[in-house]
Amino acid sequence: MAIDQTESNFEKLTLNSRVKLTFWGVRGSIPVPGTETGKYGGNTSCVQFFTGVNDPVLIFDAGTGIIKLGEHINNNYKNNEIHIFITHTHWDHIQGLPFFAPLFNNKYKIHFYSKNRSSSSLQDTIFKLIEEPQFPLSHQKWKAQIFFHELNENRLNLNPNTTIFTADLNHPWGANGYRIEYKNYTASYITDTAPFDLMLLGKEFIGSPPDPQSKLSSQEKSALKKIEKGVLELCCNSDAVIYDTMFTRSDYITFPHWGHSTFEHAFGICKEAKSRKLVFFHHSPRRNDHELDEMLQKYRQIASKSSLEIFAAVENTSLILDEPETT
Amino acid sequence: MKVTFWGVRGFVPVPGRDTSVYGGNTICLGIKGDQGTNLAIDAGTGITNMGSSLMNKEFSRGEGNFSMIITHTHYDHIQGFPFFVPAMIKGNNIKIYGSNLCEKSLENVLENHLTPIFSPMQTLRNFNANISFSRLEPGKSTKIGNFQLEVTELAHKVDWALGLKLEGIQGSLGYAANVTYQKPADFKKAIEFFTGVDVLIHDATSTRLYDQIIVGDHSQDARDAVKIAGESGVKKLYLTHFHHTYTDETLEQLLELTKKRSDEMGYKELDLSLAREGNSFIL
Repeated sequence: MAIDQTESNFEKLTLNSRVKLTFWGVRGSIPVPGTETGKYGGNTSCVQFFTGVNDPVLIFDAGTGIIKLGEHINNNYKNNEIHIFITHTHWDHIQGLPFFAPLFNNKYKIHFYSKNRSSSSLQDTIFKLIEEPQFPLSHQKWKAQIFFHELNENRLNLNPNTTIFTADLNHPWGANGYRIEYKNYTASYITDTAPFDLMLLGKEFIGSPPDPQSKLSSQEKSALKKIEKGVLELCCNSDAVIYDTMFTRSDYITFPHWGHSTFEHAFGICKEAKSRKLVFFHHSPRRNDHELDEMLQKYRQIASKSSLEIFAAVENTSLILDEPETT
Repeated sequence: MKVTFWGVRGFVPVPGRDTSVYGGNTICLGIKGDQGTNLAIDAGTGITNMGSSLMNKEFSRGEGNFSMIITHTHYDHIQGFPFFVPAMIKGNNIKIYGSNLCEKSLENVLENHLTPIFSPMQTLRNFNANISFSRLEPGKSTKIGNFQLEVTELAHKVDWALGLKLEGIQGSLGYAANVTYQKPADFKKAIEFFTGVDVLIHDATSTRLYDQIIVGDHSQDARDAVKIAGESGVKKLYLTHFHHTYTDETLEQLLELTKKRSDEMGYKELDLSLAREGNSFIL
């Protein structure tokens, strides 16, 4: 696959020991197979923070992209410890899990993480996902050792080299973003979230866009401010921020209640947080390769005066993180 | 009747360059009757493209009538439903036909698929179209537009999946997208049911151990499909519901191996093809 992100920051799948973000699935909503998505890819969300084949595997979300990653792990990796961080359990973030090969191999220890929700435990949700009559292989067929972790704190010391931070995002029902600190490297994973001018978090269903005339209550205003502050902290001085940019500005005006963001918003957050790279992610299933090329070009131009570098996530490629000393 | 393959995969959608010839969308077969009947068999991700293709007609005005037959409720047969645009438009009528599996009604299964934990749609009631359900029963014929539909229970893992026969003015179509024949009686039942159909669309995967199929334990040719088609006297067989690990190249090999197997089994007259996403045929 040609990589024309032009910079040397991107590479094809390799097992060198550079620290990088590997994109296994880049879409939102639903997988979109077909020739029109061949370049950016059609698998749903799954990103890996890669530090080396001897290290624990760090995975963010389990859309269909995780299926290929599972084979990759089985074939190439030396470490048997896998950590999967889930932003939320909407289909496009978990639907690859039932086909994740390491689950069927007893040598692995697989840890699942998600923000604690009083209404449903992560274990119940995942087990429910793979029950008849919707799926034939229940968790009893899994051979790996499985651990579920519900995060109550916003900080998790995973191992001496790795700390994970989390915060709420603005998405119907709920979602949480992550920040990964590994040695001196930092990356942020912010999907799915709407901008912060309309309260979506905690609402189970929002049927139509709210009346633009209706004013936010002071309670909603402060809740939104709190979410924004959390997101800014996750992105603060980050080497690379992967951000939900499913929407164009006109999409957002039509569907402000769907819980997705725009380039303009992502750009604003990254500027304020002094992040170094912004990676478009959670591409709309309706956007083909040509349209994504155009979007990238357009927004790169808009951002050209800024020090923020702009990229779009491309499946089966990795964004190499800069060594901190050299930045 | 015009038959279109909108999705030909089993298990899970597989986007990517190495599935771009035969397609990566999960199972959905579109049927258009000569007098305008619109019908889908199964609602894998292929149904999203079918839905979009309908949107420049009466469906965009909220005047469309659509029938959907769900042959069983594993994800690959229902996961496209929440993205089927005609279901979002007020005024359209969507009638969903299916059967009850695992003591849960089809409606329950779809509701479960849409709960806020899994989907921002929350419930079927948030789709604007009129959605209704109708239960299919083996041995009973159902009229859908100009078609007569008959179903049977085919062996599938612990439960079963529907096999169906759709009879139109110009001919009849058989469909068995997901079937795991375990014992001779399972074959016998399917052969009796499909005897007399003009075209059969059948599961390409042959195995006795459905639990192992996802991790790849199945035969490399479509021997079960060939046996059913051959013994039923079907002239034209399309293989579908391809395993998600199969690339375009593997599928070409599957076709070659299956043709060889078909000759060995003595069905030299059987015309055998792979279902290919986007392709149609007229019956």
